[in-house]
Amino acid sequence: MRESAPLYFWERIGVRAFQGDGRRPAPTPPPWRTATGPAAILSRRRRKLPIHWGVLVDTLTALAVLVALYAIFIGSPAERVQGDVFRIFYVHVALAWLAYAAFALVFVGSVAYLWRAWPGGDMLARAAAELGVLCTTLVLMTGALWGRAVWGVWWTWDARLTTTLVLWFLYVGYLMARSAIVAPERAARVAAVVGIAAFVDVPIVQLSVSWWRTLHPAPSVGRPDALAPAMLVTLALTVAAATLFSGRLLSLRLAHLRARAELEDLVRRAAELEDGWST
Amino acid sequence: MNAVVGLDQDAGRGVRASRRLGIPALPGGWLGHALAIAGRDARREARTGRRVVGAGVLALLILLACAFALGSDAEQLRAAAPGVLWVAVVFSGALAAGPAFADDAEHGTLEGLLLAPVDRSAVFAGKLVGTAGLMGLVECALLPAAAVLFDAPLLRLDVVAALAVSTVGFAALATLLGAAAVGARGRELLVPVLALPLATPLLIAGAQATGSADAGQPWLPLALAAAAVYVGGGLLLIDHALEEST
Repeated sequence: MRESAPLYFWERIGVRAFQGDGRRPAPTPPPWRTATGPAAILSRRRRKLPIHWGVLVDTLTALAVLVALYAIFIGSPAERVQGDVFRIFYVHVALAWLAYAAFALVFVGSVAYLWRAWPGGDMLARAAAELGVLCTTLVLMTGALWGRAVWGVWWTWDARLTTTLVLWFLYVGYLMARSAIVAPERAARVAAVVGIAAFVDVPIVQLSVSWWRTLHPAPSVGRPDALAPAMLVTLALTVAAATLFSGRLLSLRLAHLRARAELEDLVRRAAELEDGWST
Repeated sequence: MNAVVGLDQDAGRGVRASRRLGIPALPGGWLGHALAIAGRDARREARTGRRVVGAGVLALLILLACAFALGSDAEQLRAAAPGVLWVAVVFSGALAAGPAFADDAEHGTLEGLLLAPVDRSAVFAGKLVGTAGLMGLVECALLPAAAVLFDAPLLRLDVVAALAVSTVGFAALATLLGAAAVGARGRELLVPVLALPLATPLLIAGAQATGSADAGQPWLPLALAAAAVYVGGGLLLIDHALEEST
């Protein structure tokens, strides 16, 4: 309380109930909240952005995808032994990385939901699981195409292939459990437990090539002479483009889930109000 | 009023909660509670025989279907026998474990179980004993049938040991998932769809221990470890699976 503020007579005798009647001057804002402070400047600058940020990100993503496609099909050299079939590798590795990242997000979201009952964690886990299943499906398909060309078979019961297939089934089961259990909170809780348990398979998939003798090639990133520099750049571009693209997909799905939760909340509250009126 | 609200919130959270509310715990201790629930399930099963007959007939039909699919070459049938046995055990087990909690939910007795001053892990242990016993009964018919129909040396001690260990582990997983799937649409489908991929380590270790006895590979201890993980996980997670189930 500032010294200059006048005290009303009831305040002098100790009555505090009448405070806040609007006649007391507002407290001075801190320096970063003033009209010329950094917060105001930041918000004003953000409002002056000519287009919505989503459009900007979408444009960047589209550009990145085009650049990555150019690098994969035109910019990078063909492999010495495999020839053009090697170009599947870039997409395959990028999708596998995305699947790992998506399932890690499922894990994080599930832990957040179980630990703090945070509904956003459940939405994140759900959206990421859908993305991860999509990516794993495409990983299995691109891998089969490459295997047909290089190994001569579409599929073999190699350790990495098998663990990846199990991964796909685990998260398909996760999504099925989500849709099968009717009560939303119970579905979220069961799904969170399954999502945490299923994540155990992700490190097994990654380490399977070093644990067992497999047909699947060992990781080539990190070994100095495994990839030509142009190939490494192409791989990095593909991973970046795929990450941007899926990140945008994920954010759209999250926005959708959030909007639906808000709508359901509104419908529920309207029904409650109606009940209140009728009784 | 307050007492009722407290009862509603803390019901089924174990003996400690009931002590806090001033409700005397049921006599018998954790093991006694589990055995009482297992005994009740066994008595009900003895009266109807619905689950054991259903699972047993399905298991024998799987043997038949696999024999048709493989043809009549005796050598091929003998080599495939352990694998066929595993397919039959797993699918009939998933079918047998599904109703462990769902039957109670249908008849309204699950609420009674959850309200009773009994640890939920004891409820799970009782249901697990019931399900594993059921699967064991089915296997008692399945193992000789497979040995005869496929002319394979399956009636050996190592096969029985691997089957017993894997049965307990798989029954724990399927019972937990059956509890989670109470009130779900398509529960009969959901339990095997979730249980099979989650049971992968147990299935691989168990099937290897049953089939070609690979010297130098400790498949049976591996199966034992996997089964221990499923039983422990079930005891820990059953509280989450049964929350607000009705």
